[in-house]
Amino acid sequence: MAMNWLARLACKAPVPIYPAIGRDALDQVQDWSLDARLQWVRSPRQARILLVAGEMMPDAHPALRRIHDQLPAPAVTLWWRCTPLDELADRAIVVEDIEQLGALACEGYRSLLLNERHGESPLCADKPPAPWEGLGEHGQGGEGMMGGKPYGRPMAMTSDDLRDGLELDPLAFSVGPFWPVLAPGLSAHFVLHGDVVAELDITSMPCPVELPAPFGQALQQPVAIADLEMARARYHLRRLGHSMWINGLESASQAVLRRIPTLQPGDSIEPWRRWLRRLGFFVSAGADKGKLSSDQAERLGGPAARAAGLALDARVHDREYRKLGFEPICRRSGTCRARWQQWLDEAAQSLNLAARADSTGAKTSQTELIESPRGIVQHGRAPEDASSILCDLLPGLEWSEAIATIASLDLAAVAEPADRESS
Amino acid sequence: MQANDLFTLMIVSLVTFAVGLVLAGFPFSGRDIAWPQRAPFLGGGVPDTHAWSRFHVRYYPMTLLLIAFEMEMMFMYPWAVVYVAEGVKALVEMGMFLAILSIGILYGWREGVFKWQ
Repeated sequence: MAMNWLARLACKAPVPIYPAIGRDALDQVQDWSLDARLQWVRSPRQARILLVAGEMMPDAHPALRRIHDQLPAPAVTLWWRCTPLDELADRAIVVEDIEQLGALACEGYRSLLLNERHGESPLCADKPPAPWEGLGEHGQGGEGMMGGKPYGRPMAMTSDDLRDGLELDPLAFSVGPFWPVLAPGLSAHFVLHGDVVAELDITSMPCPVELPAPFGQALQQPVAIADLEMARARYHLRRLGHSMWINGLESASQAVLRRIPTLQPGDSIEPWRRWLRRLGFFVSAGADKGKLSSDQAERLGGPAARAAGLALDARVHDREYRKLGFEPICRRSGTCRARWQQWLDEAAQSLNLAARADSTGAKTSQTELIESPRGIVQHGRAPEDASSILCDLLPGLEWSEAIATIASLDLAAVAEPADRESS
Repeated sequence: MQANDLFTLMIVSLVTFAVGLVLAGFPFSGRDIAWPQRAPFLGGGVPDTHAWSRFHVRYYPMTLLLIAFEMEMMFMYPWAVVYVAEGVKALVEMGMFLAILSIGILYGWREGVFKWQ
């Protein structure tokens, strides 16, 4: 009785959900995280519901199985825009419409708590990753101090430390593709010395992102500059909101995301800037790190390049933009802080341009070359994946600085808009 | 309060503590955590090794230096009182003590503690 009462009370709490994000689902996941009934948690251990959102490649399935098993039992999985794994197909809850997600998640959570539904069975074998066996015939003896692999994993062997050449133990591990700090689909192998990143290898590329619809249309026909610039402002602010979430400013990031749909041409960004300064976002750990070289900046393009002093912007070639008085904004330092401020500056600039273009009804004058929020897009050439620059940027940074650097870069390739139209 | 009472109180609190420990562990007894659950959360990634790694505590020379200075000060307060009574003998003894401690400070110097990094 008492347990029932407690369970019913627990049902009223926000549902802790861990999203495993696949292709083109990050924006929607951010949007539903604003729903008061749901709570986006950072680790599956805090979650009762796993949301698998967006299409994913078969090579991500082992990682998905591992995440699934890291949710404490009993747990349920919701599937949105993807095919459930075979093992779970018969009991899968498929979310047809993202609007239903809140209701379905609450229902799943309630049925788990009230014992109306059994949790899903684990997908991975319940055995250690490797047997604890030494070299000897009775399992004794081994390399270093160890007899075999205690609890299934080898102990770290010493290697030269990055900073002063002491022989210390590196910590090697791989993260991703479902770690929300990294872009969806990106997985990487890290070697840490203490809290300093010593080595980084990208093991799988992030999923290509699709640009907002006006950018696809702008390659086909002239579109209203006001629409294009509003889409750009929203894109940049969304990225900024996500960076804030990664840096631990969760409620501030929610405030940003909540404000984005209500933005109007001509709105001022200045209050945001003051607010972010007061929050200390621009002086958070690593804000002055992650400096891009000019080669890296050129490769990345878009706001990241302009934050590093390269005035690359396709809008200067558009006569209508020139009529509106457009000039690219540049910063010089190319650090994380510069990129965050660049997003804000460009969002402010876009809102201004949108207000001016709205009054004149200006449309873009060229369709072969447009400036997307990720860089220049042409027919048959969209910004490519640039995640490998992390391999040069991160070594030598402390972990928190490395995270800030990842949070300030938009590295995924852009899915070619023309392809999408034809497919 | 009698010694007997204190003893009884101690026994009662120890027994309560022990029973409390057993009860607190009760929900977890007989249920082993599954292997996939034991793995650290890495967004679907896996660790190559255990996380029992030795790494350099970078503030170590700084703590040595702090202890060296702090010990000096700790003994110099009572010494200041004794010095009035004892005179030159106390001064020589304190000189020896400081000489030994300053070896630690010299070591710290060699290790680069005074360099601001």
